[in-house]
Amino acid sequence: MSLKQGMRKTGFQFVLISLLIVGLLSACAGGNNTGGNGNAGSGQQENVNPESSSNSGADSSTGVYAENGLSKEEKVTLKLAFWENGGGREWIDHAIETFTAKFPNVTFDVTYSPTIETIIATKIAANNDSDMYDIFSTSIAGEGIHQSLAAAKKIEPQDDLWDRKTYDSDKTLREQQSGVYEGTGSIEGVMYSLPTTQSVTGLFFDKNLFEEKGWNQNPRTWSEFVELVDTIKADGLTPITYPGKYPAYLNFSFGLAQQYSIAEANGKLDEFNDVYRNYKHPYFTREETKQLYNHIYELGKKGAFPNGVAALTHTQSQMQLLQGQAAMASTGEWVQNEMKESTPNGFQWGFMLVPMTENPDDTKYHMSYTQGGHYIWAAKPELNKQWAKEFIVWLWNLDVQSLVAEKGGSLPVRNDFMNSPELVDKLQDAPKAVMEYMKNNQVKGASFSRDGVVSDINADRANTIVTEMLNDVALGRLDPAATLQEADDLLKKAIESVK
Amino acid sequence: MAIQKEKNKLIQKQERAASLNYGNRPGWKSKEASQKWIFILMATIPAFGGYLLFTLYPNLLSVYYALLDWDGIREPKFVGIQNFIVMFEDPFVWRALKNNVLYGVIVPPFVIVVSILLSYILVYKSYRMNAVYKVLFFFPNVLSVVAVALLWAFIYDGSFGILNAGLKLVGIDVGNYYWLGEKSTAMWAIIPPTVWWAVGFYFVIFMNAMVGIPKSLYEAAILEGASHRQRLVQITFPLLMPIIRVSAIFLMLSMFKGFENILILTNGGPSGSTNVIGLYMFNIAFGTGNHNYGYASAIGMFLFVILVLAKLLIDKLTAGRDAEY
Repeated sequence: MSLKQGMRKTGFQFVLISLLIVGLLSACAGGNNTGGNGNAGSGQQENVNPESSSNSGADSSTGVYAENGLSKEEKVTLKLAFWENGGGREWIDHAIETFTAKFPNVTFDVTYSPTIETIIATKIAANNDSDMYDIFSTSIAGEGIHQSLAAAKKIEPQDDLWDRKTYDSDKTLREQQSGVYEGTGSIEGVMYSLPTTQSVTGLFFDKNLFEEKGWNQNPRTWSEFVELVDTIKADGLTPITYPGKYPAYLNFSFGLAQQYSIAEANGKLDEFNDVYRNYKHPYFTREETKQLYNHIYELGKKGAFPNGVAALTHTQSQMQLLQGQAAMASTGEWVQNEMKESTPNGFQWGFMLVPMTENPDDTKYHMSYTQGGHYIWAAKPELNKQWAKEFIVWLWNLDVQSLVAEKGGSLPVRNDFMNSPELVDKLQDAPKAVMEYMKNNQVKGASFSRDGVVSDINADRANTIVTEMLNDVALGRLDPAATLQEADDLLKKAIESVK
Repeated sequence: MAIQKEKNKLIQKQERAASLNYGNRPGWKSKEASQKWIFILMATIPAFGGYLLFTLYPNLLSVYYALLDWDGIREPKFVGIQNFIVMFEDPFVWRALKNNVLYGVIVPPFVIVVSILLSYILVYKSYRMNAVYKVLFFFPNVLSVVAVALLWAFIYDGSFGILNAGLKLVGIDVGNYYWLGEKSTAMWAIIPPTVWWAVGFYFVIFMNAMVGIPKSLYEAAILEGASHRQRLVQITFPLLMPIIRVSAIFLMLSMFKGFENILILTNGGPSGSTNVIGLYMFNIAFGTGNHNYGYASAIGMFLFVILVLAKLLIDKLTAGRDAEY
C-alpha cells in the first residue's frame, strides 16, 4: 500500500471517528433545540399553527368537528401522564377509548404509574418541551411547585373550561359541577386544572363492628368522640390508626379541616382563612392550631393511637383496620378500592369526621380533594393544547363519571350524578358512607390550596418540625406547645425574609 | 581511518535524517503509528466522553447551582455563598450528619470484620459445602437494596415480624414492639440490614485476596505453633491491608452517600432520628416541601468535602500497616 493510500485510509478513519463522536455528543445534547419534528411522542404535529387549523376549518365545513371546531384532518398525539392511584385506570382507559373513537385523528401516548409524580418532576426539571407530557397529573411532589409552574407560565390556565358545555348535555361544567368549583385550587385567582373526581378524608371504620359493639357511629361533640375512644380502648382495640411513617396522613382526620371547624365555631373563619391561604403570621400558635394539636395530645395520652405507629406504612395501618386490630383509620374514601383484595367478607365501610367543638350543631369540615386534575404544558403546540382541553372536558361525560364511581371508588364531580338515586347506587360503600354522613350532619369542605408560597427554608423547617412532632404528640409523649411556638418563630423569619 | 570515520558519520547522519523525516518512513511504520492512535482514541473517547458528560460536567454544574436560589422552574437567582451560610446554621444538617457519622463508624468495621472472618473460615477450613456457603453469603448482594429493605421491614414488624417471634421463643417477650418505630432503636435497627447486604460483596473480595496469600507463610506459622487467631491477626490482616483500606474507603463513602434503604425502612423517621445527609439533600431537591436545587447542591458540596476528609482519615489510620510477601 502506498503512503498516499495509507494516508487516505487514515484520514477516512479519522473522519469516521469524528462523525461518531459528534453523533454521540449531539445525541446527548439534544435538549431544548429539538423542534416539533423531533418529538417522538408527537411526531405528527406538523400543523401546529392555530391559524392553520382554523383556516382548514374555514376551507371546508366537513373538515372540522361540529362540537369543537377543531380539524378532523390534522393528526395529534397527546402524551398523557396518568397517576394510577387507588382508583385504578379503568375509567381513564374508557375515556381515552371513547374520545379516540369520536375523534379518530387524536391518539394517546399514556404513561401510567402509581408514582407518576417522580417521572413528571424529572421531566419538569429537564425542561425539554418536546419530551414533556401534553397533559399530566397535578399530583406532583413539592409544596411550591404548582405556584412555581404557574409563575413561570409553564402550565396553561383552564378557567375557560368551566363555561364549556359538557359533551353529553346542554349545560356548562360550571352548571353541572356538584360543589367542586369552590374546592378547586387556584393560584393567584387562576385555575390551572379541573377536577374529574373528588375525594373526602376522615375516619373510616367497619359499620358492622360498630353496630355489634354498640359504639357511637356519629359522635357530634368532642366529648362524645373522646368517650367513643375510651369505649373502644376498653374493648381492647386500638381506637385510631394511621401510617406514622408518613405522619401527614393523620391530617386526613386531624388537620386543616378541623382547624376550619374550630375557626367557624369561634367566629373567626374569615380571619383564619386569610391567615392560611395567604401565609400570614402567627399561624402555628393560633387558637385553631393549638386546640387541634392539644386534642391529638389528649388522645395520645389515652393511648388512642397504636404503639410503634411511626413504623407503619399506609397499607399496614389499613390492614390493622381490616384485621380488627384498630377500630378506625385516618384515610380517604379511596380506601375501599385500594384495599379491595384484602377486605374480609362482612366488612361494611362507615365514615365519620372528628368533631372539634362541644356544640353538636357546629359545622364540621372535611378535607375535600378535587382530584384527577391534569395540567397542560404551556409550551406545547397550540393544537395539542386545544385537544388536551377537549379531553379534559370529555372526562366530565356521565359515562366516564359513572366509571369513576363504580370502578374507581371515588365521588364524581357532576351534580346530575349525585342527584340521581339510580346513579348514586353505583357508588362503592365507602363513598356512600361519606354521602350518608354529609346528609346527616352540617358539613362543609376545605381544600389545602394556597394563593402564594413562602419559599424561604425556614418555612420548610417550620413544617418539618411540626410533622416530626406529630407521632410523639399522638403517642402522648410530647406536649405540642413548645414546638408550635418554635414553628411560628421560624415561619415569622420566613415571611420576613421574603418581604 | 579518517575516511572510514567520515563514512560512518555520514551514514549515521543519513539514518538520523531518515528517522526524522516522517515522509520517508516506510509505509508499514506510518500505518502502525496511526492505528495505534486510532485505537487509543477509540478506547478512551467513549469512556472519557461519558465521564466528561455524565460525571464531571454535572458535578461542575452543581458547584454553580450551589450559588443559586433555584427551584428548577423559576428563574435562578444568584445568592453567592448564602446557601452555605444557611447550611451551617441548619440544625437538620447537623442532625443528619450525626446519624451519618454513627452509621459510617459502625457499619464499615462490622462489614470488614465479618467478611474477613467468613472468608478465612471458607478459605482455610475445607468444608464439603464450601461452594454452597459462598453462594449463600454472596446472595444478599445480588438482591436490590429495595428488596433487602422490604425484607427487613417485615422482620422488624411489631405484629408479624420474625424478630419478635424469635425473641419470644427464647423467652424475651417484647410484645408488639416496632423496632423501626421507636427513636431509641430505629437507627440501630438499620445497621444489620446494611451489614447483611454489604458482607456478600466484600466477602468475595477478601476471599479471593486470601487465596492469593502463599500457603508457605501459614505452613511456617503452623510449624512454629501459631494458632488460628495468631495467623489471622499476624499474617492475614497485614497482607490484606491494602484491600481492607480500599474496602473501608468504599464502605465509608457509600454510608455517607447512600440512603435508599433508610428511605424505605423509615423514611428518615421517627421524628428525623434516622435522617441522613443524603436523604435530607434528596428531600430538599425532590421532596414534599419547597424544592431548592441550590441549597441541595450546597449540601452536596459539603458532602463532597466530608467524603474527601473521610478518605484522608482512613488513609492516615491505615498508613504503614501494609506487609508484603
